[in-house]
Amino acid sequence: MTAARILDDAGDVLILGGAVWSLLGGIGLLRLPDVLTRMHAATKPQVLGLLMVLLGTALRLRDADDVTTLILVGLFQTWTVPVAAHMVARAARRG
Amino acid sequence: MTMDEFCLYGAAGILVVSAALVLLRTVLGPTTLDRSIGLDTLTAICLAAIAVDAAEHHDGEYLPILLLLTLVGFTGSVCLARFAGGDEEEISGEDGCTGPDETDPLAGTLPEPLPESGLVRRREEGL
Repeated sequence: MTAARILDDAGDVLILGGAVWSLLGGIGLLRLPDVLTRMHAATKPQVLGLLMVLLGTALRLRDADDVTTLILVGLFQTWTVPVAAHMVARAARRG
Repeated sequence: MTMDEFCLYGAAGILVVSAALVLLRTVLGPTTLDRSIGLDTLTAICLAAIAVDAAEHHDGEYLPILLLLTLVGFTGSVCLARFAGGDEEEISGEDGCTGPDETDPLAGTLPEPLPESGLVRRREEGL
């Protein structure tokens, strides 16, 4: 079993885990009762699920350009999601 | 079936199911904010799906699309939240402005503005 094979398999497991988080987020989004609790469920695929999938993809691609793009995507997502969540929560609480 | 196929095709199937659930919430969602949250989550799931595709083909050609989708999804969600909810309170709320039919709660507590002659004089003096 070579190192490349091990990295590929670790990436596979991470990607599958991230997809499962997305499924949990989808179920929560459908079943929870109001906007604020649905926001709680929506955060799972947006941050944890996506970061796991990106990490798994980086482990499988292992190319400097691709890994840089993936790191940038993760950074932008973790910067922008809290801002959007703040705006939505503010609007939900006021209206 | 190899481990690659099991995990990646399984992940793709799970992403399809969760996208369908989120889309259902987006269609049902009683308020605009629910739909905004649903669309935001749908963007995240699309990002994950493109990343899974790149991982499956060992090819990073489509990865810049991820970068673009992240920023565009953020802009859309913030615009919806900003203009969908809490409009009225934004006009006549804690920011100190009053609506057209309301009395000014600060009336009488602030000093009178300078009379017009005083303004003209100050302008001529170059202040």
